[in-house]
Amino acid sequence: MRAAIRNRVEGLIRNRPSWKIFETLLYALGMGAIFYLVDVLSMRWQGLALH
Amino acid sequence: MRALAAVFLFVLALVAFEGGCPVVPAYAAAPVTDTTPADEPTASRPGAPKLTVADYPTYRGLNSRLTVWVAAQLHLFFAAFVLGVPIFVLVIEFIGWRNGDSRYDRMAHEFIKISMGAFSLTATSGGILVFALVVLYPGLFAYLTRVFGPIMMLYALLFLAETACLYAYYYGWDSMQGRRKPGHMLIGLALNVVGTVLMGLANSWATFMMAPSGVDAQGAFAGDVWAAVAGPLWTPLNLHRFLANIAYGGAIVGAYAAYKFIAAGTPEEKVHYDWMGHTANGIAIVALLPLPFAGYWMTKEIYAYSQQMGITLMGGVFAWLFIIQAVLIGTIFLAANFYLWCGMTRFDGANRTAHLVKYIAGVLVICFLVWFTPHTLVMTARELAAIGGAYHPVLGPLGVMSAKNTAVNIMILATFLTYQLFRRAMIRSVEPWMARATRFQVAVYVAAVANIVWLGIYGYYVPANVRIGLSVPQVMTTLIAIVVCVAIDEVIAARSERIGTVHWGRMPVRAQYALFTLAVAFTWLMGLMGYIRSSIRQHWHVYTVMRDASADAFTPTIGQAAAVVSACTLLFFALILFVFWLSGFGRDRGARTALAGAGATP
Repeated sequence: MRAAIRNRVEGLIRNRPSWKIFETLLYALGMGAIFYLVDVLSMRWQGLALH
Repeated sequence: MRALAAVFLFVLALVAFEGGCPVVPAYAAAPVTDTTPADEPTASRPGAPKLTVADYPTYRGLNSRLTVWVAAQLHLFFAAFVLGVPIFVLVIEFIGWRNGDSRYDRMAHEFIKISMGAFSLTATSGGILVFALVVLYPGLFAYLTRVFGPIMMLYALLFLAETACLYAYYYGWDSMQGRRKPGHMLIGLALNVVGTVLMGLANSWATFMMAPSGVDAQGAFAGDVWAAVAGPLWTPLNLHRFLANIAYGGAIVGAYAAYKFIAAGTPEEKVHYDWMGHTANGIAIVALLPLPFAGYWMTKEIYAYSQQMGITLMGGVFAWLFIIQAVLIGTIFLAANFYLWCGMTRFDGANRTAHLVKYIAGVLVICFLVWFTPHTLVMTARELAAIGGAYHPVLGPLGVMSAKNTAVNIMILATFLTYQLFRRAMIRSVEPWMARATRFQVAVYVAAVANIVWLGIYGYYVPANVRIGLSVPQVMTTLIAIVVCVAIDEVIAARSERIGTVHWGRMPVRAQYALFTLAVAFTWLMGLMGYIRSSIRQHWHVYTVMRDASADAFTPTIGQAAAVVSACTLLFFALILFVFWLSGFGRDRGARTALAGAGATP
């Protein structure tokens, strides 16, 4: 019963467009952090500082 | 599709490998020539000859520079084509062999047949170029021979090997099937290795003239021919030409496929040439995407070698030609994308992603406009007064590299997105994780564009050296986004359902004109950029070492240069049309029957 309710709630949350957008933004934030690291490292590779 | 992905990953790996090399210029460890030419040669070794106008023979009123220019340009067009085509022919042949699909094999064979027709014209134009140099520029040729003599002999031998490999590869195609196929592919590999080495050797002569190494300030050759070959610009030019040759080969065979598609008499022929055009366009795009990065590297090395040369290139009279370059590259991007958009009509599942095309088109057009916005406008005094200065108050900031780098990276991402949508039109996600992976891909695009735009804006607030350095993380962002998305797409595609069938041949004729546009724009662009690369030496045969004392030692006007490049482009297309016609000339009824029996292509 509890599992069924949890599945139902999770299903409601996950199938809502807002959750999909939130999830996408979360991924984008993570990728943004990786890209920032790439910025810093590739500038350092050239002997320059990003800031 | 897998073929394209394989070629793409190969090219990316190559770029990554090259990009992984230290940024320290090669000439840092090599003898560096002084930028101030000295008057006296060293006593032990003769320096570069000091020529006068009398040292330049004329022949029947021919303009010497124009003659050499046209011969060299035509040779480069054909050489790029015949070196680029065997690279992807080998990849296609390998895929056909692995999959046991004879249609790939037949397409690869047809590609190499066009290359065969162009090969003799490559040799002929090369011969004309050498004779023109010997007759019209004997002093320069003698000096180059003094430095590169052993390399020239090696080049001649390798050319012989190239010819042998190409003939064995082409004429052995039908007889070396089945168990003998690996042997045939080995010949193809040898053909490509020899061709690439040939290109590298010839490149060294051009880069030596731009950035001499292995000689002292007077041009006296130290005796180490490798030091003369491996100059500071050699590796970037090798990479740039290697990629450009593949892209160019793809564009030209795409034009061939378009020509045959329009002239096709049967539905089977339409199917075949539609597939061929699609493959050729894919090859051109795959090689085009990393090309600007190779160009950046090359330009960076030019600046590192001689800031004066760099400023002549980007900040002087040639800067205007870069606006034309931007227009041509923008045309290439738009034509390639347009062809892919038209190609989506072949798929039953295309309507799911078709609505996104208009947004991609909008992004491409905006970036295109930013890219060809000039920094300094050519204006009358009245216009200057009306505008309030040399720079437009609103559009002026878009004329600098920060904006242009941003625009070109976003254009590359938009083109890749088109390619991705094209692939997705064929498949349907069947598992929930695929939808999540797609959302992750969207996030990669969002983060990549945000990072590229941020770096572009940040570039306006930092010193020039940091601003130039910011182009590297921008490029890395684009490459990482593409690699991540390709990897995810491969996993999704391997586990997805295919939607309906692919209707090869269901393609509008206007899409074929996009392929023609692609070929013409590529050719024009190569001629233009080749002229710029060569002309930044200005009044030097060999920069700072051997002065050009001929009557033609001046920089032509932009109009004159554009006219010569355009004439070369027209001449090349007149000749390549002959090659196209020739390649279909010997086509027998048996080949047509084989095509008719082949059915739909993959």
